[in-house]
Amino acid sequence: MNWLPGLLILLMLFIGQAALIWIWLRARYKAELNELALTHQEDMQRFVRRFDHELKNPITAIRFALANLAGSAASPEQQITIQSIDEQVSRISDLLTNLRKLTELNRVALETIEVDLHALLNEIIDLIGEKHPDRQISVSREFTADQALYGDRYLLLLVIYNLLDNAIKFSPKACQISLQTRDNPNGSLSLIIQDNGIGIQASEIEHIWEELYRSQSVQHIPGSGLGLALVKAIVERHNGTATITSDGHEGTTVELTLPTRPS
Amino acid sequence: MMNNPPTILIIDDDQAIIQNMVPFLERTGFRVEAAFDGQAGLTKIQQIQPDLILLDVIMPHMNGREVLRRLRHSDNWLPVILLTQVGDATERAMALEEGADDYLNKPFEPQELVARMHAVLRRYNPNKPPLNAAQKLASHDIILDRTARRVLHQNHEVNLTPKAITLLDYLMTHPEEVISRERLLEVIWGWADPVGIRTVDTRVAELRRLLGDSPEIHRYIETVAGEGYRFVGKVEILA
Repeated sequence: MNWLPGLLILLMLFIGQAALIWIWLRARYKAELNELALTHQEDMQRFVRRFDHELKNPITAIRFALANLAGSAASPEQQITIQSIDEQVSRISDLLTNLRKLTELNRVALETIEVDLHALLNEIIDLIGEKHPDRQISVSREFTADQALYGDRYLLLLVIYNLLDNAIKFSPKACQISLQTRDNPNGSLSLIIQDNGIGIQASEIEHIWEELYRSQSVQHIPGSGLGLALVKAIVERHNGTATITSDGHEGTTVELTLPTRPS
Repeated sequence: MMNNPPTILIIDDDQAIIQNMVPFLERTGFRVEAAFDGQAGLTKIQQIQPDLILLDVIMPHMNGREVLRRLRHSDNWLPVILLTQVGDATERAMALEEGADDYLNKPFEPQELVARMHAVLRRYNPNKPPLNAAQKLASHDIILDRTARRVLHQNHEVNLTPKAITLLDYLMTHPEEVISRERLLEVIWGWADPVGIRTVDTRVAELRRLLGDSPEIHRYIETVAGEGYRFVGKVEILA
Protein backbone atom coordinates (compact mmCIF):
# COMPACT_ATOMS: atom_id res chain seq x y z
CA MET A 1 0.00 0.00 0.00
CA ASN A 2 3.02 2.28 0.10
CA TRP A 3 2.41 3.00 -3.58
CA LEU A 4 -0.89 4.74 -2.66
CA PRO A 5 0.46 8.17 -1.71
CA GLY A 6 2.53 8.21 -4.92
CA LEU A 7 -0.52 7.33 -6.95
CA LEU A 8 -2.57 10.02 -5.23
CA ILE A 9 0.09 12.62 -5.95
CA LEU A 10 0.21 11.58 -9.58
CA LEU A 11 -3.57 11.74 -9.78
CA MET A 12 -3.62 15.23 -8.27
CA LEU A 13 -0.92 16.39 -10.66
CA PHE A 14 -2.90 14.99 -13.55
CA ILE A 15 -6.12 16.69 -12.44
CA GLY A 16 -4.25 19.93 -11.85
CA GLN A 17 -2.77 19.86 -15.35
CA ALA A 18 -6.12 18.97 -16.89
CA ALA A 19 -7.68 21.93 -15.07
CA LEU A 20 -4.95 24.26 -16.35
CA ILE A 21 -5.40 23.01 -19.90
CA TRP A 22 -9.17 23.49 -19.58
CA ILE A 23 -8.76 27.08 -18.34
CA TRP A 24 -6.32 27.85 -21.15
CA LEU A 25 -8.65 26.38 -23.79
CA ARG A 26 -11.61 28.40 -22.46
CA ALA A 27 -9.59 31.59 -22.49
CA ARG A 28 -8.45 30.85 -26.02
CA TYR A 29 -12.02 30.12 -27.11
CA LYS A 30 -13.27 33.38 -25.56
CA ALA A 31 -10.44 35.33 -27.17
CA GLU A 32 -11.27 33.84 -30.55
CA LEU A 33 -14.96 34.62 -30.08
CA ASN A 34 -14.06 38.21 -29.17
CA GLU A 35 -11.83 38.47 -32.19
CA LEU A 36 -14.60 37.14 -34.41
CA ALA A 37 -17.04 39.63 -32.90
CA LEU A 38 -14.54 42.45 -33.44
CA THR A 39 -13.92 41.38 -37.02
CA HIS A 40 -17.66 41.24 -37.61
CA GLN A 41 -18.00 44.71 -36.14
CA GLU A 42 -15.21 46.09 -38.32
CA ASP A 43 -16.70 44.40 -41.38
CA MET A 44 -20.06 45.90 -40.51
CA GLN A 45 -18.59 49.38 -40.12
CA ARG A 46 -16.75 49.07 -43.42
CA PHE A 47 -19.93 47.91 -45.14
CA VAL A 48 -21.97 50.75 -43.67
CA ARG A 49 -19.38 53.34 -44.72
CA ARG A 50 -19.34 52.04 -48.27
CA PHE A 51 -23.13 51.74 -48.36
CA ASP A 52 -23.45 55.26 -47.02
CA HIS A 53 -20.92 56.60 -49.52
CA GLU A 54 -22.71 54.99 -52.47
CA LEU A 55 -26.14 56.20 -51.44
CA LYS A 56 -25.47 59.73 -50.30
CA ASN A 57 -24.68 61.13 -53.73
CA PRO A 58 -27.77 59.80 -55.52
CA ILE A 59 -29.97 60.98 -52.66
CA THR A 60 -28.39 64.44 -52.78
CA ALA A 61 -28.97 64.60 -56.54
CA ILE A 62 -32.60 63.50 -56.13
CA ARG A 63 -33.20 66.17 -53.49
CA PHE A 64 -31.98 68.89 -55.82
CA ALA A 65 -33.94 67.45 -58.72
CA LEU A 66 -37.10 67.52 -56.59
CA ALA A 67 -36.35 71.08 -55.48
CA ASN A 68 -36.02 72.05 -59.16
CA LEU A 69 -39.32 70.37 -60.00
CA ALA A 70 -41.09 71.98 -57.06
CA GLY A 71 -39.80 75.37 -58.14
CA SER A 72 -40.98 74.92 -61.72
CA ALA A 73 -44.59 75.36 -62.87
CA ALA A 74 -45.69 71.98 -61.58
CA SER A 75 -49.40 71.19 -61.53
CA PRO A 76 -51.08 70.44 -58.18
CA GLU A 77 -51.04 66.71 -59.01
CA GLN A 78 -47.34 66.89 -59.82
CA GLN A 79 -46.73 68.74 -56.57
CA ILE A 80 -48.37 65.85 -54.71
CA THR A 81 -46.13 63.38 -56.52
CA ILE A 82 -43.07 65.50 -55.76
CA GLN A 83 -44.09 65.61 -52.11
CA SER A 84 -44.52 61.84 -52.03
CA ILE A 85 -41.10 61.24 -53.58
CA ASP A 86 -39.55 63.73 -51.17
CA GLU A 87 -41.02 61.83 -48.21
CA GLN A 88 -39.53 58.57 -49.41
CA VAL A 89 -36.17 60.22 -49.96
CA SER A 90 -36.36 61.49 -46.38
CA ARG A 91 -37.03 57.93 -45.20
CA ILE A 92 -33.92 56.68 -46.96
CA SER A 93 -31.95 59.62 -45.62
CA ASP A 94 -33.11 58.84 -42.07
CA LEU A 95 -32.08 55.23 -42.57
CA LEU A 96 -28.62 56.40 -43.59
CA THR A 97 -28.46 58.67 -40.54
CA ASN A 98 -29.33 55.75 -38.26
CA LEU A 99 -26.74 53.54 -39.93
CA ARG A 100 -24.16 56.23 -39.38
CA LYS A 101 -25.20 56.48 -35.75
CA LEU A 102 -24.57 52.76 -35.37
CA THR A 103 -21.06 52.96 -36.75
CA GLU A 104 -20.26 56.13 -34.81
CA LEU A 105 -21.48 54.56 -31.59
CA ASN A 106 -18.75 51.99 -31.73
CA ARG A 107 -16.00 54.57 -31.76
CA VAL A 108 -17.40 57.76 -30.28
CA ALA A 109 -15.90 58.85 -26.96
CA LEU A 110 -18.41 58.57 -24.13
CA GLU A 111 -18.78 61.34 -21.58
CA THR A 112 -19.75 59.38 -18.52
CA ILE A 113 -21.33 61.09 -15.54
CA GLU A 114 -23.81 60.26 -12.83
CA VAL A 115 -27.24 60.52 -14.42
CA ASP A 116 -30.34 61.16 -12.33
CA LEU A 117 -32.69 58.42 -13.50
CA HIS A 118 -35.89 60.19 -12.50
CA ALA A 119 -34.95 63.41 -14.27
CA LEU A 120 -33.93 61.42 -17.34
CA LEU A 121 -37.21 59.52 -17.40
CA ASN A 122 -39.21 62.74 -16.95
CA GLU A 123 -37.47 64.22 -19.97
CA ILE A 124 -38.04 61.10 -22.05
CA ILE A 125 -41.72 60.86 -21.12
CA ASP A 126 -42.14 64.51 -22.17
CA LEU A 127 -40.47 63.81 -25.51
CA ILE A 128 -42.58 60.69 -26.05
CA GLY A 129 -45.73 62.64 -25.27
CA GLU A 130 -44.75 65.28 -27.84
CA LYS A 131 -44.11 62.64 -30.47
CA HIS A 132 -47.40 60.82 -29.86
CA PRO A 133 -49.90 63.56 -28.99
CA ASP A 134 -52.90 61.47 -30.11
CA ARG A 135 -52.14 58.43 -28.01
CA GLN A 136 -53.35 57.64 -24.52
CA ILE A 137 -50.15 56.72 -22.76
CA SER A 138 -50.08 55.65 -19.16
CA VAL A 139 -46.68 55.20 -17.55
CA SER A 140 -46.48 53.72 -14.07
CA ARG A 141 -43.26 53.86 -12.10
CA GLU A 142 -42.25 51.63 -9.26
CA PHE A 143 -38.88 52.56 -7.95
CA THR A 144 -37.19 54.43 -5.18
CA ALA A 145 -36.05 58.01 -5.41
CA ASP A 146 -32.46 59.17 -5.97
CA GLN A 147 -31.51 56.35 -8.26
CA ALA A 148 -28.77 57.09 -10.72
CA LEU A 149 -27.06 55.49 -13.64
CA TYR A 150 -23.48 56.08 -14.69
CA GLY A 151 -23.00 56.77 -18.36
CA ASP A 152 -23.32 59.15 -21.25
CA ARG A 153 -26.55 61.01 -20.59
CA TYR A 154 -27.50 61.59 -24.21
CA LEU A 155 -26.89 57.98 -25.21
CA LEU A 156 -28.80 56.66 -22.20
CA LEU A 157 -31.62 58.97 -23.21
CA LEU A 158 -31.55 57.49 -26.71
CA VAL A 159 -31.72 53.95 -25.32
CA ILE A 160 -34.71 54.47 -23.07
CA TYR A 161 -36.43 56.74 -25.58
CA ASN A 162 -36.15 54.11 -28.31
CA LEU A 163 -37.54 51.41 -26.04
CA LEU A 164 -40.49 53.51 -24.87
CA ASP A 165 -41.15 54.62 -28.44
CA ASN A 166 -41.23 50.98 -29.53
CA ALA A 167 -43.56 50.10 -26.67
CA ILE A 168 -46.00 52.75 -27.87
CA LYS A 169 -45.64 51.96 -31.57
CA PHE A 170 -46.46 48.30 -31.04
CA SER A 171 -49.21 48.79 -28.47
CA PRO A 172 -52.93 49.51 -28.75
CA LYS A 173 -54.15 53.09 -28.73
CA ALA A 174 -54.43 53.02 -24.95
CA CYS A 175 -50.86 52.12 -24.14
CA GLN A 176 -49.77 51.05 -20.69
CA ILE A 177 -46.13 51.01 -19.78
CA SER A 178 -44.71 50.04 -16.46
CA LEU A 179 -41.21 51.02 -15.32
CA GLN A 180 -39.50 49.23 -12.48
CA THR A 181 -35.97 49.14 -11.21
CA ARG A 182 -33.92 46.59 -9.34
CA ASP A 183 -30.63 47.12 -7.56
CA ASN A 184 -28.29 44.24 -8.36
CA PRO A 185 -25.72 42.74 -5.98
CA ASN A 186 -22.86 43.72 -8.30
CA GLY A 187 -23.82 47.39 -8.02
CA SER A 188 -25.56 47.69 -11.38
CA LEU A 189 -29.15 48.76 -11.79
CA SER A 190 -31.78 47.05 -13.90
CA LEU A 191 -34.54 49.08 -15.51
CA ILE A 192 -37.49 46.90 -16.51
CA ILE A 193 -39.85 48.25 -19.15
CA GLN A 194 -43.08 46.35 -19.65
CA ASP A 195 -45.82 47.16 -22.15
CA ASN A 196 -49.24 45.80 -23.16
CA GLY A 197 -48.35 45.63 -26.84
CA ILE A 198 -48.57 42.94 -29.49
CA GLY A 199 -45.67 40.94 -28.12
CA ILE A 200 -42.90 39.16 -30.00
CA GLN A 201 -43.00 35.56 -31.20
CA ALA A 202 -40.50 33.24 -29.56
CA SER A 203 -38.96 32.40 -32.94
CA GLU A 204 -38.13 36.05 -33.50
CA ILE A 205 -36.65 37.00 -30.15
CA GLU A 206 -33.14 35.88 -31.11
CA HIS A 207 -33.20 38.12 -34.18
CA ILE A 208 -34.74 41.16 -32.60
CA TRP A 209 -31.43 42.88 -31.91
CA GLU A 210 -30.11 42.43 -35.45
CA GLU A 211 -29.62 45.45 -37.71
CA LEU A 212 -32.55 46.05 -40.09
CA TYR A 213 -34.52 43.09 -38.73
CA ARG A 214 -38.27 43.68 -38.61
CA SER A 215 -40.86 41.16 -37.62
CA GLN A 216 -43.40 40.18 -40.28
CA SER A 217 -46.21 41.19 -37.96
CA VAL A 218 -45.08 44.85 -37.83
CA GLN A 219 -44.21 45.47 -41.46
CA HIS A 220 -47.22 47.81 -41.68
CA ILE A 221 -45.88 49.99 -38.86
CA PRO A 222 -43.22 52.56 -39.90
CA GLY A 223 -39.76 51.84 -38.62
CA SER A 224 -36.17 51.43 -39.77
CA GLY A 225 -35.30 48.17 -38.07
CA LEU A 226 -32.33 49.89 -36.44
CA GLY A 227 -33.77 51.11 -33.15
CA LEU A 228 -32.99 47.99 -31.15
CA ALA A 229 -29.59 47.59 -32.78
CA LEU A 230 -28.82 51.12 -31.58
CA VAL A 231 -30.06 50.25 -28.10
CA LYS A 232 -27.84 47.17 -28.01
CA ALA A 233 -24.79 49.08 -29.27
CA ILE A 234 -25.20 51.80 -26.64
CA VAL A 235 -25.85 49.34 -23.81
CA GLU A 236 -22.76 47.34 -24.77
CA ARG A 237 -20.66 50.50 -24.88
CA HIS A 238 -21.70 50.97 -21.26
CA ASN A 239 -20.77 47.37 -20.45
CA GLY A 240 -24.42 46.68 -19.75
CA THR A 241 -26.90 44.12 -20.97
CA ALA A 242 -30.34 44.20 -22.55
CA THR A 243 -32.76 41.30 -22.73
CA ILE A 244 -36.24 40.98 -24.17
CA THR A 245 -38.93 38.54 -23.14
CA SER A 246 -42.41 38.14 -24.46
CA ASP A 247 -45.10 35.49 -24.44
CA GLY A 248 -45.76 36.26 -28.09
CA HIS A 249 -49.35 37.37 -27.60
CA GLU A 250 -49.52 40.33 -25.35
CA GLY A 251 -46.83 42.45 -23.92
CA THR A 252 -43.08 42.66 -24.08
CA THR A 253 -40.63 43.13 -21.25
CA VAL A 254 -37.24 44.70 -21.80
CA GLU A 255 -34.69 44.55 -19.02
CA LEU A 256 -31.72 46.91 -19.20
CA THR A 257 -28.86 46.42 -16.81
CA LEU A 258 -26.54 49.38 -16.61
CA PRO A 259 -23.74 50.56 -14.33
CA THR A 260 -24.32 52.96 -11.47
CA ARG A 261 -20.67 53.80 -10.93
CA PRO A 262 -17.43 53.91 -12.90
CA SER A 263 -15.94 50.50 -13.64
CA MET B 1 -20.16 94.36 -50.84
CA MET B 2 -20.91 92.33 -53.96
CA ASN B 3 -23.24 94.03 -56.49
CA ASN B 4 -23.25 91.14 -58.91
CA PRO B 5 -24.62 87.79 -57.89
CA PRO B 6 -21.96 85.79 -56.09
CA THR B 7 -20.11 83.26 -58.23
CA ILE B 8 -20.13 79.76 -56.84
CA LEU B 9 -17.76 77.03 -57.95
CA ILE B 10 -18.95 73.45 -57.32
CA ILE B 11 -16.17 70.87 -57.33
CA ASP B 12 -17.73 67.39 -57.31
CA ASP B 13 -17.13 64.29 -59.42
CA ASP B 14 -20.81 63.29 -59.34
CA GLN B 15 -22.45 64.39 -62.59
CA ALA B 16 -25.99 63.97 -61.29
CA ILE B 17 -25.30 66.28 -58.36
CA ILE B 18 -23.83 68.96 -60.59
CA GLN B 19 -26.66 68.64 -63.15
CA ASN B 20 -29.26 69.22 -60.46
CA MET B 21 -27.44 71.58 -58.12
CA VAL B 22 -26.46 74.10 -60.79
CA PRO B 23 -29.99 75.07 -61.93
CA PHE B 24 -31.20 75.12 -58.33
CA LEU B 25 -28.49 77.51 -57.21
CA GLU B 26 -28.92 79.66 -60.32
CA ARG B 27 -32.62 79.99 -59.56
CA THR B 28 -31.70 80.99 -56.02
CA GLY B 29 -29.69 83.89 -57.38
CA PHE B 30 -26.11 82.69 -57.78
CA ARG B 31 -23.85 82.43 -60.79
CA VAL B 32 -22.59 78.86 -60.87
CA GLU B 33 -19.61 77.12 -62.42
CA ALA B 34 -18.58 73.50 -61.98
CA ALA B 35 -15.49 71.32 -62.04
CA PHE B 36 -15.44 67.53 -61.88
CA ASP B 37 -12.21 66.82 -60.05
CA GLY B 38 -9.75 68.45 -57.70
CA GLN B 39 -7.14 69.45 -60.25
CA ALA B 40 -9.74 70.93 -62.62
CA GLY B 41 -11.18 72.72 -59.61
CA LEU B 42 -7.86 74.35 -58.75
CA THR B 43 -7.46 75.49 -62.34
CA LYS B 44 -10.97 76.94 -62.39
CA ILE B 45 -10.36 78.81 -59.13
CA GLN B 46 -7.43 80.57 -60.78
CA GLN B 47 -9.51 81.39 -63.83
CA ILE B 48 -12.74 82.67 -62.35
CA GLN B 49 -11.91 83.65 -58.74
CA PRO B 50 -15.24 82.48 -57.32
CA ASP B 51 -16.84 84.02 -54.26
CA LEU B 52 -17.49 80.64 -52.67
CA ILE B 53 -16.42 77.07 -53.31
CA LEU B 54 -18.59 74.01 -52.65
CA LEU B 55 -16.10 71.18 -52.41
CA ASP B 56 -16.72 67.46 -52.33
CA VAL B 57 -14.10 65.46 -50.51
CA ILE B 58 -14.10 61.96 -51.95
CA MET B 59 -12.98 62.44 -55.55
CA PRO B 60 -10.56 60.48 -57.71
CA HIS B 61 -6.97 61.62 -58.32
CA MET B 62 -7.09 64.57 -55.93
CA ASN B 63 -9.54 64.60 -53.06
CA GLY B 64 -11.19 67.71 -51.67
CA ARG B 65 -9.01 67.95 -48.59
CA GLU B 66 -5.91 68.08 -50.77
CA VAL B 67 -7.54 70.85 -52.81
CA LEU B 68 -8.25 72.72 -49.59
CA ARG B 69 -4.72 72.23 -48.29
CA ARG B 70 -3.21 73.55 -51.51
CA LEU B 71 -5.50 76.56 -51.48
CA ARG B 72 -4.69 77.48 -47.90
CA HIS B 73 -0.99 76.73 -48.35
CA SER B 74 -0.96 79.31 -51.13
CA ASP B 75 -2.62 81.78 -48.78
CA ASN B 76 -5.89 81.65 -50.68
CA TRP B 77 -8.69 82.15 -48.17
CA LEU B 78 -11.69 81.97 -50.48
CA PRO B 79 -14.62 80.59 -48.54
CA VAL B 80 -14.99 76.82 -48.81
CA ILE B 81 -17.88 74.63 -47.69
CA LEU B 82 -17.10 70.92 -47.67
CA LEU B 83 -19.96 68.80 -49.00
CA THR B 84 -19.47 65.34 -47.76
CA GLN B 85 -20.02 62.84 -45.03
CA VAL B 86 -17.45 63.98 -42.54
CA GLY B 87 -17.19 60.99 -40.26
CA ASP B 88 -16.33 61.08 -36.61
CA ALA B 89 -15.67 64.05 -34.35
CA THR B 90 -11.93 63.96 -35.08
CA GLU B 91 -12.48 64.14 -38.82
CA ARG B 92 -14.94 67.00 -38.38
CA ALA B 93 -12.49 68.96 -36.27
CA MET B 94 -9.69 68.28 -38.76
CA ALA B 95 -11.79 69.43 -41.71
CA LEU B 96 -12.37 72.76 -40.04
CA GLU B 97 -8.81 73.10 -38.79
CA GLU B 98 -7.56 72.56 -42.33
CA GLY B 99 -9.34 75.74 -43.25
CA ALA B 100 -12.84 74.84 -44.42
CA ASP B 101 -15.32 77.50 -43.44
CA ASP B 102 -18.05 74.98 -42.84
CA TYR B 103 -19.23 71.54 -43.86
CA LEU B 104 -22.50 69.87 -44.71
CA ASN B 105 -23.06 66.15 -44.55
CA LYS B 106 -24.60 64.62 -47.63
CA PRO B 107 -27.43 64.15 -48.20
CA PHE B 108 -28.60 67.60 -47.14
CA GLU B 109 -31.64 69.74 -47.85
CA PRO B 110 -31.08 72.22 -50.69
CA GLN B 111 -32.45 75.07 -48.55
CA GLU B 112 -29.98 74.22 -45.83
CA LEU B 113 -27.13 74.53 -48.30
CA VAL B 114 -28.34 77.95 -49.40
CA ALA B 115 -28.67 79.13 -45.79
CA ARG B 116 -25.14 77.93 -45.05
CA MET B 117 -23.77 79.60 -48.18
CA HIS B 118 -25.31 82.94 -47.22
CA ALA B 119 -23.93 82.65 -43.70
CA VAL B 120 -20.42 81.90 -44.97
CA LEU B 121 -20.55 84.73 -47.50
CA ARG B 122 -21.67 87.16 -44.79
CA ARG B 123 -18.74 86.15 -42.59
CA TYR B 124 -16.14 86.32 -45.34
CA ASN B 125 -13.48 88.98 -45.08
CA PRO B 126 -11.04 88.88 -48.01
CA ASN B 127 -8.37 90.54 -45.90
CA LYS B 128 -8.35 88.00 -43.13
CA PRO B 129 -8.14 84.21 -42.88
CA PRO B 130 -11.25 82.56 -41.46
CA LEU B 131 -11.56 81.98 -37.73
CA ASN B 132 -11.59 78.26 -38.50
CA ALA B 133 -7.98 78.40 -39.55
CA ALA B 134 -6.82 79.92 -36.26
CA GLN B 135 -5.07 78.00 -33.52
CA LYS B 136 -6.14 80.39 -30.76
CA LEU B 137 -9.19 82.58 -30.52
CA ALA B 138 -10.16 85.23 -28.02
CA SER B 139 -13.42 86.89 -27.19
CA HIS B 140 -14.50 88.76 -24.07
CA ASP B 141 -12.40 87.13 -21.36
CA ILE B 142 -12.27 83.74 -23.04
CA ILE B 143 -9.26 82.27 -24.79
CA LEU B 144 -9.84 79.10 -26.78
CA ASP B 145 -6.74 77.12 -27.73
CA ARG B 146 -8.14 75.02 -30.53
CA THR B 147 -5.03 72.93 -31.02
CA ALA B 148 -4.52 72.03 -27.37
CA ARG B 149 -8.32 71.90 -26.81
CA ARG B 150 -8.12 74.10 -23.75
CA VAL B 151 -10.21 77.03 -22.60
CA LEU B 152 -9.13 79.90 -20.37
CA HIS B 153 -11.69 82.12 -18.70
CA GLN B 154 -10.29 85.21 -16.98
CA ASN B 155 -6.88 83.52 -17.28
CA HIS B 156 -7.99 80.44 -15.39
CA GLU B 157 -8.35 77.13 -17.14
CA VAL B 158 -11.93 75.89 -17.35
CA ASN B 159 -12.45 72.17 -17.10
CA LEU B 160 -14.63 71.43 -20.13
CA THR B 161 -15.43 68.04 -21.62
CA PRO B 162 -14.33 67.40 -25.20
CA LYS B 163 -17.89 67.84 -26.46
CA ALA B 164 -18.31 71.11 -24.57
CA ILE B 165 -15.10 72.37 -26.20
CA THR B 166 -16.39 71.29 -29.60
CA LEU B 167 -19.59 73.22 -28.93
CA LEU B 168 -17.76 76.36 -27.81
CA ASP B 169 -15.33 76.07 -30.73
CA TYR B 170 -18.14 75.98 -33.26
CA LEU B 171 -19.99 78.90 -31.68
CA MET B 172 -16.84 81.02 -31.46
CA THR B 173 -15.85 80.31 -35.06
CA HIS B 174 -19.33 81.41 -36.16
CA PRO B 175 -19.77 84.59 -34.08
CA GLU B 176 -23.00 86.56 -34.34
CA GLU B 177 -24.52 83.78 -36.42
CA VAL B 178 -27.64 81.97 -35.26
CA ILE B 179 -26.87 78.26 -35.15
CA SER B 180 -29.81 75.89 -34.89
CA ARG B 181 -29.93 73.21 -32.20
CA GLU B 182 -30.03 70.56 -34.91
CA ARG B 183 -26.81 71.89 -36.37
CA LEU B 184 -25.11 72.00 -32.97
CA LEU B 185 -26.18 68.44 -32.28
CA GLU B 186 -24.71 67.40 -35.60
CA VAL B 187 -21.47 69.22 -34.81
CA ILE B 188 -21.16 67.54 -31.42
CA TRP B 189 -22.39 64.07 -32.29
CA GLY B 190 -22.26 63.75 -36.08
CA TRP B 191 -26.00 63.37 -36.44
CA ALA B 192 -29.12 65.37 -35.73
CA ASP B 193 -32.36 63.97 -34.42
CA PRO B 194 -35.29 65.55 -32.59
CA VAL B 195 -34.61 63.49 -29.46
CA GLY B 196 -31.24 65.03 -28.86
CA ILE B 197 -32.25 68.67 -29.25
CA ARG B 198 -32.75 69.19 -25.54
CA THR B 199 -29.30 67.75 -24.98
CA VAL B 200 -27.97 70.81 -26.77
CA ASP B 201 -29.87 73.06 -24.37
CA THR B 202 -28.39 71.16 -21.42
CA ARG B 203 -24.88 71.51 -22.82
CA VAL B 204 -25.28 75.22 -23.50
CA ALA B 205 -26.60 75.75 -19.98
CA GLU B 206 -23.61 73.87 -18.60
CA LEU B 207 -21.21 75.88 -20.75
CA ARG B 208 -22.75 79.13 -19.56
CA ARG B 209 -22.43 78.04 -15.96
CA LEU B 210 -18.77 77.06 -16.36
CA LEU B 211 -18.02 80.38 -18.04
CA GLY B 212 -19.53 82.20 -15.10
CA ASP B 213 -22.75 83.37 -16.72
CA SER B 214 -25.72 84.00 -14.48
CA PRO B 215 -29.11 82.47 -15.37
CA GLU B 216 -30.44 85.95 -16.14
CA ILE B 217 -27.55 87.48 -18.07
CA HIS B 218 -25.92 85.61 -20.91
CA ARG B 219 -22.77 87.41 -21.89
CA TYR B 220 -21.35 84.89 -24.29
CA ILE B 221 -24.08 82.71 -25.76
CA GLU B 222 -27.43 84.20 -26.55
CA THR B 223 -30.62 82.21 -26.99
CA VAL B 224 -32.55 83.14 -30.13
CA ALA B 225 -36.07 81.97 -29.36
CA GLY B 226 -37.35 79.37 -31.78
CA GLU B 227 -34.10 79.35 -33.74
CA GLY B 228 -31.06 78.38 -31.76
CA TYR B 229 -28.03 80.00 -30.21
CA ARG B 230 -25.61 82.74 -31.13
CA PHE B 231 -22.16 83.57 -29.82
CA VAL B 232 -22.23 87.24 -28.94
CA GLY B 233 -19.34 89.57 -29.58
CA LYS B 234 -16.24 89.92 -31.65
CA VAL B 235 -13.88 86.98 -31.92
CA GLU B 236 -10.24 87.63 -32.71
CA ILE B 237 -7.44 85.44 -33.87
CA LEU B 238 -4.61 85.28 -31.35
CA ALA B 239 -2.47 82.74 -33.20
